Amino acid sequence: MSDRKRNNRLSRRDFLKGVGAIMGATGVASITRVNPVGAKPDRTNTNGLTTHKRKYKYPWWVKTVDKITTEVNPDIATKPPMVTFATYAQAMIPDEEWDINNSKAKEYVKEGIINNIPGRTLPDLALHYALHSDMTLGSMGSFDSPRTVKIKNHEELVTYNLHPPRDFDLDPWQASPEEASRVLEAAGIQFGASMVGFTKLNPDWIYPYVKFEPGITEPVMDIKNMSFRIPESYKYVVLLITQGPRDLLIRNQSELGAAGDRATYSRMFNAGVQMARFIKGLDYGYAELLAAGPIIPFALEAGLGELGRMNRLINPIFGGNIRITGFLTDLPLAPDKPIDFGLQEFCKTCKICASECPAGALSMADEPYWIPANAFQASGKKVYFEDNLKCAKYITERGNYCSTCLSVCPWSKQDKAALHEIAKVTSVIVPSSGNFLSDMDQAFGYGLIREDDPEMEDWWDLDIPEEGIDSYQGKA
Amino acid sequence: MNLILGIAIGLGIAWLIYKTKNGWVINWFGWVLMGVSASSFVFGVDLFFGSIIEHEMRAGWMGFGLFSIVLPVVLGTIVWHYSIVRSA
Ligand code: SF4
Ligand code: SF4
Repeated sequence: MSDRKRNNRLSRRDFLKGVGAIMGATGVASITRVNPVGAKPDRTNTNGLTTHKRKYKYPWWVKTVDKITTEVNPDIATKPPMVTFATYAQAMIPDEEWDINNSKAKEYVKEGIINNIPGRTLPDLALHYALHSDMTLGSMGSFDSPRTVKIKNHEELVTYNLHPPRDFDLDPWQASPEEASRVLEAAGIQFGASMVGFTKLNPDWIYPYVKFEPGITEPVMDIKNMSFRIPESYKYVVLLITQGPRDLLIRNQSELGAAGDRATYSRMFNAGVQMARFIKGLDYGYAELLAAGPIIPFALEAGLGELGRMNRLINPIFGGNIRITGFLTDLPLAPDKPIDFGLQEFCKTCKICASECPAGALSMADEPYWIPANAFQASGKKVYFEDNLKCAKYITERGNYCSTCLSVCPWSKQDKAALHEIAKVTSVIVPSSGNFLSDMDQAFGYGLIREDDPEMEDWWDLDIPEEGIDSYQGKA
Repeated sequence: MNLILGIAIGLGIAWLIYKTKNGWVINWFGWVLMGVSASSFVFGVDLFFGSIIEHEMRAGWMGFGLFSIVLPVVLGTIVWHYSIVRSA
């Protein structure tokens, strides 16, 4: 790591000491004025248990009470019969009646698709069942769902209880490529993607073991013989990026930071499974892009970002705090165009990711170059090739995933202060401002929270949004 | 927050108008510097409250101190000494 940047930094600890001294004096004075010393607020309930101090505060007009507001009487209570674990539906409705209801439901659903009834169209139905990906038990509210189900593997997760039009003897969804992209984007955001992009298959980026074949209708992967055969009609690519929980990610190089990284991957995985289910629900096929080629070039084509010095995708709204997934499909899609927000120039002088990389794996060169660092990297691109073996070694030796480079990138900021927007606009208009802006970034104290920072364990007390994600980033 | 900022700035402008009608003459660069000061103040407050949500309090305090206190005080001092002619 470059000591230049490290040594210039006023650590969070030093800063907090200063602020703490001033705030501490006033704080102690005001607290002691309000609460007499030694008096503790009563935090016990009627059972004498210490009550939880909820982070999510209700408004003032909601009061806490000692008993639930529904009257109960255990003396006259009886319990309903349960036939299987957690499904009372099976107890209430016998199998024969269940089958009759399913047939009625099937007709009702088919009527919605054929007549394009608003709220019951084929994409509406596909959305419903795409989101039905987490059921490990049979459920009501989804027709034909097995009454007790245990999903055993990933394939079942993607195909479980789907109802594509062929189930009703109907054709696959018909729509223009523009309409298809519009619908997939809306669905993708609902599935948890921060952004969705589309592009066409570029065979130059596909791994050598992948073959596109006219005679097959489903992808066939043969791991033993290193072959992945994909139907020739899979010419379109849909990509989803999911942002990560920033409060965890800036605690990188720790288990908390690794948790943030895993959370980002989990969000990506869930969104991906649901997108695959959605495409299948429209009666089109899909193949995992990750198994067919490197995903970043497609994401660049789809306008989801530019390639940064760290050789990861940098999105202008979410920076590097993202993970990407994607699919090849035969559903015709209207492609997006690549974007340019001045990152190539900016990265030349910024270099924060390289100076903060704990493995020293990222290049500090002033210009990108054509020569790969080792045989595991594809040539033919002018980038800052990193020493990916050093990175892999660092991660595997610690047993937790590092994504320091992604977190410290100045583009990975949240957008709650206008300062970030001004910095981004400045870097687009004056791309050579990278050095100045990255120095400012560090002077203002942005960057990693490290093991020895007092804030490390404060995460447990932060008031964070759901999943730690601000889903309005870049939208408000 | 925006409401409180709006009221504070509105009161400041009302006070200035009152003073200019009662003997103060402020030259053009005085007005420019006051505009810069007010913008800087608002910017610092925005950064402070934005940083609370972002859990980036160090940046919040730095920004508030710099943009909402130091810069307005320096510019205000310049205006006070060099831009205002008090005729009354
Ligand atoms: S993940 Fe960590 S070790 Fe790997 S390049 Fe990024 S900062 Fe370096
Ligand atoms: S940290 Fe700086 S140099 Fe690295 S990718 Fe981000 S902008 Fe580029």
